[in-house]
Amino acid sequence: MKLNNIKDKFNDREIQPGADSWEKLSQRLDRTDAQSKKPILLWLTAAAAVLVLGLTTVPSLFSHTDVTPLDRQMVIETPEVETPLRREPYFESNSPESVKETVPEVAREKEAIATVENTTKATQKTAETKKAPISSIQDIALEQPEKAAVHPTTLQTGVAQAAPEVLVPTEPQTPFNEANALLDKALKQVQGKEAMATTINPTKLLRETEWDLEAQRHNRLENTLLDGLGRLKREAVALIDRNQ
Amino acid sequence: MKVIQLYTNEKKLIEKAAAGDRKAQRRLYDKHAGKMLSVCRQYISPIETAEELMLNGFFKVFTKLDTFQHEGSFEGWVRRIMIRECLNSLRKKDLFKWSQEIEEERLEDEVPDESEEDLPLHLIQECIDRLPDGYKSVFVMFAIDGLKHREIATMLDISENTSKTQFRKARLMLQEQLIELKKKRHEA
Repeated sequence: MKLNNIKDKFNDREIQPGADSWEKLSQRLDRTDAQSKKPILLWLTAAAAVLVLGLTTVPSLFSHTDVTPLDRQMVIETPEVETPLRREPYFESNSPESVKETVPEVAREKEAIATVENTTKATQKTAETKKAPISSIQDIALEQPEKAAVHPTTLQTGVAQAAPEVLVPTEPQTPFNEANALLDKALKQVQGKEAMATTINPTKLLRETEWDLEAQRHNRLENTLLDGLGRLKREAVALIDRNQ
Repeated sequence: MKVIQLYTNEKKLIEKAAAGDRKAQRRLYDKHAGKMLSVCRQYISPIETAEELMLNGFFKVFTKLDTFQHEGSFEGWVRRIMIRECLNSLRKKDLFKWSQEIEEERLEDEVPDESEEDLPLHLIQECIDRLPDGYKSVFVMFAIDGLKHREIATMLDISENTSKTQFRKARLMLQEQLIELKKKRHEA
């Protein structure tokens, strides 16, 4: 038997497969591709979830800015509406009756001399304050028109909030004249600031700067996370290619 | 020049197919499916089973195409995958029965050549199909696919001498069948 003849005959032979043979093979390959892509899709989903969590939680972890109700209130720019300035309660609290109520009976005699001296000084200062333009005081009050409408002592609150470093303790034990003097001092400081920069609100400016800084920090964090996701995607694509 | 171009084209096609390009895979399939089904048919009958094994083989080809190093011919690489697929199928069905080894001296005896040139290929195929699976596999691997006895022994997990024995016995049996077939044809 001549083997070479058989070999040549068989090597030249071609048997055409069925018409749907490629379809069968193609479907099988598609199924395998889908199966191999599943874990990668799972990983991508997990990565996206981590990214979203990171974007929402991480900035709050790094941010140490305490957001006070005042801040929230100041974010909304309310239209400037003139409200009547009520100074009566402030002056009412200066009356001797209220002094009697607040100062204890025992300490009254001891503090009598000091009170007289302080009262004279305070009266002088108050007179100076009275001379100050009402419009500047109105500006302070207009910072929170709603509050001013509700509470009669808005002016005091407004002053205290605008200059937190001169917060006045309101305990009944504090000598009243001393409190008045401190209040006047604070009022003067605020008036001075207002006079220096009538158009710039320092609290607002500080808040805006804080927002800018926070936004920058958020952007940096977001960029880092997006870079990470991009790298993850590239690796996943490379993995898909390798699997195929 | 033309040969180099063809080689480059096939290389590009293989690279695309390895990257999962379905069109490139289709072109490679269309190019080699006919020959590979013929290879599978040499080992396996009926043709439907052979086609099934060929599809299995192509599935392995496309899923492991990135391991092809372009060192030998692509067709040779695919052919070996097909042969392995067929042998695995026969092994699973436990169809290999190896006959007793023949002594070395007797292996050298030449079997007288009997011309079968006038016989059509499908008749020769029928005669090969009638051989026991062990004989048939070794005969096809050696006589048609051109593998050496050492390679056959490794692939079938048998000794080299067993491979030679199987081939010799297969050849004798096939020759008897062909002579008988010829006689029948002459009588007819």
